[in-house]
Amino acid sequence: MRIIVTVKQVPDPEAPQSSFTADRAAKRVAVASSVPAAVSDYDNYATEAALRIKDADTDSTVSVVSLGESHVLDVIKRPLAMGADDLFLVQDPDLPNGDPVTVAAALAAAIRKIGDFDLILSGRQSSDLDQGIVATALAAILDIPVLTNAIAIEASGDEVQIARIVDDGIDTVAARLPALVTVSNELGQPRYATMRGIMAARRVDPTVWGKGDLEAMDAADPFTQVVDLFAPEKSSNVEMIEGETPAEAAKALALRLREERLI
Amino acid sequence: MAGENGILIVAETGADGSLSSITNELMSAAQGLAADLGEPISAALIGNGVGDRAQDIINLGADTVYQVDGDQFASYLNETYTPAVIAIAQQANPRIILIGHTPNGRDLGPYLAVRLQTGIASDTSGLSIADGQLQAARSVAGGLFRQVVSFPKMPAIATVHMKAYDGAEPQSGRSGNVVNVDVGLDASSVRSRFVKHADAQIEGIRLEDATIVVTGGRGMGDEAGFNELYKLQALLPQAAVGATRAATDSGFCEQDLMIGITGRVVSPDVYIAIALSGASQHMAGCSGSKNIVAINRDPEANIFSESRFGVVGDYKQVLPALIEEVQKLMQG
Repeated sequence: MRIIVTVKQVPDPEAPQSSFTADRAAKRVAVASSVPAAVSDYDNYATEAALRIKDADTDSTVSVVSLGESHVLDVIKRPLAMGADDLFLVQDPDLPNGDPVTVAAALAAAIRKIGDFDLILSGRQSSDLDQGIVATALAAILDIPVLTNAIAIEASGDEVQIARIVDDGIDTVAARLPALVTVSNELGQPRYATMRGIMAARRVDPTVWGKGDLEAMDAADPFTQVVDLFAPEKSSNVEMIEGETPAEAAKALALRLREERLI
Repeated sequence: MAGENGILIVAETGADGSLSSITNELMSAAQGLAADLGEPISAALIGNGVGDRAQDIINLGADTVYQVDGDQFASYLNETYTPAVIAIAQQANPRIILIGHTPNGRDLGPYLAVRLQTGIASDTSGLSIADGQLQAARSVAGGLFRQVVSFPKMPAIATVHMKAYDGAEPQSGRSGNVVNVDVGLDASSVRSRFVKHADAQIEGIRLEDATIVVTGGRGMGDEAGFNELYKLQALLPQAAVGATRAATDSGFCEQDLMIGITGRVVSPDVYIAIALSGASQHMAGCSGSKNIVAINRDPEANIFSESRFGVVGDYKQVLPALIEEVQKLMQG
C-alpha cells in the first residue's frame, strides 16, 4: 500500500505563552525566535497510523509531504526517524495566514506530482490554528472520499475502515481506496524515533519544491481573509478560599459553595 | 450565482431522531445575523424519516425548511450529506451557511466549501455582519488570540463552536414553508459506506447534561488518584466526571470523558477543576461553565484566572476533606 502522510511544522505549542504575541498590523501571531519548531501534534498520530499499516504490510511505503514557509530539517524529519520512507517539502514564503482551502490546493498539487497513492493520512487539525479544514478540503480537491477523526484504522484490500467518536457514541465508516483519513489522538501514542531511525533519517535528502515547481499554486484569490488578530482581554475575579491547612480550605470551600447554592 | 439572500443553517438530529441542541444554537446565531441583515433564515434538514422535525425547526425561528428525506440519508456520510446540502444551497441561494462544529459538521464543512468554491472558517464563536457580509471570530494558538475572518465570496461558510450561543427557545405554532428537495444522488458515485453505530456506554448522566462536572487533569497522577473524583461526583446531584486530554492520554480514564477543543464541550452550573492547569485547549471545552471552581497546588496555574473560586493545595489533601464536608452538607 502506498501511503502519504501530510505533516505541518508549527511553533512548539508547549513554549511559554509569553513568547507568543499578537502582531495586529500583520494580522498574525508573532513568535519569539527562542521558540523551537515542532511537528504539529496530531500529525505525529497520522504518521503512527501509517507506520502501523506498514508494520502489518511490510511492502507498504510511507511518504511524508509538508508545506510551509520554510522547514527546520531536524524537526520535519521526525516522521522519517519514526520509520517513514521519504520526504517531500513544498516551501512557499507567501503561505503564512494562508486561507486553508488555498493551502489544500497547493498540497493537492504536490501530491499529484508525487504520484499514485492508496491512502492519505493527516492529523485531525493543526496545533497552531486548530482549523481542521486543510485535510478534508484536500480530499475534496483530489475528489477522493474522506473519513475524519479516526480513533482506529484498518486498511485492507481496496478499503479503509475507521472508528470515529460522534456525539452519542462511536460510528464505524468505510471508504474505497484511494481515500483520505484524518487521525485523532485516541489512536494511541505515536512511537518514539529510534537511534537507528534518526541515523537513517539523516541520510535521507528530502525532495524540495518551490512555488514554481507546482501547477495551480497561483490559484484564484483566497476564499477567506484574516482581517484582525488580537489578544482577548482577560479579567479575573477569582475568590481564593484559604485555610490554616488544605483540609480547612476545602471545608471553607464546601461551605462557600453551599452559601451560593451551588451544591 | 448572484442574488444570495439569507442564512441557511444545517440542522442535526440525534440517534433518537430529535433535534440536537446545536440546532437551537445555530438558530440563535442565525437570528442575530438575520436581524442585522433584514433577511430570512432557512434550515437544511437531512435524514431518513425526519419530516416531523421540520415544524420543530420552524418553531425555533426558521422561515423555510429544505428537507432531504430518504434511506440513503439514514446515517451521516460525507459523500451523501455534501450533495444534499449542495442541492439545498442551490435552491436557497444563501449569503451565509452555518454548520455546527460537531463531529459531523466539521467533517462536512470543508468538503462543502471546496464543492461550492467558497471560503470556510471553522470553530467560530463570534459572528457579526460588517458591510453586509459575515465576519467570524475564532480562537487560535489554543485560545491565546482571537482571529477575525472575512469572506470575499458567497456563500460564506462557518462552523460554530458548540455552546457558543444559548439555544433558541421554540415558539409553538409558528408558520413557515417546508420544501422537499430531491438530491438526485447516483448511488454508484458513493465510494464510502456507513458500517455501524455503537451507543456510548454511559453510567449515570451524560457529561453535556450534567449540572455539576468534576474534572481531573494530569496532576491526578494515576488511575487510582483519578478514581477519587467519583467519590465527590457520587455525592452531588446531576453530576458527571470529566477529564483533560493529558489525563485520558495517560490512561487515567476512558477517552470519551475528554473535555476540550477536540473533545466534549460542557457548560454546567458548576465546573470543579482539579489538578489541571487550565490550558486553553481544555478551556475551549468548559469556558461556558457558569461557575468554575479550581483546586491546584500551583498558585500560578492559569485555571485560577478563569475561576470564580479557588483553593491552592495538593488535591490529595484537599479532595478528601472536600468530600467529607460535602457529605455532611448533603446529609444535613
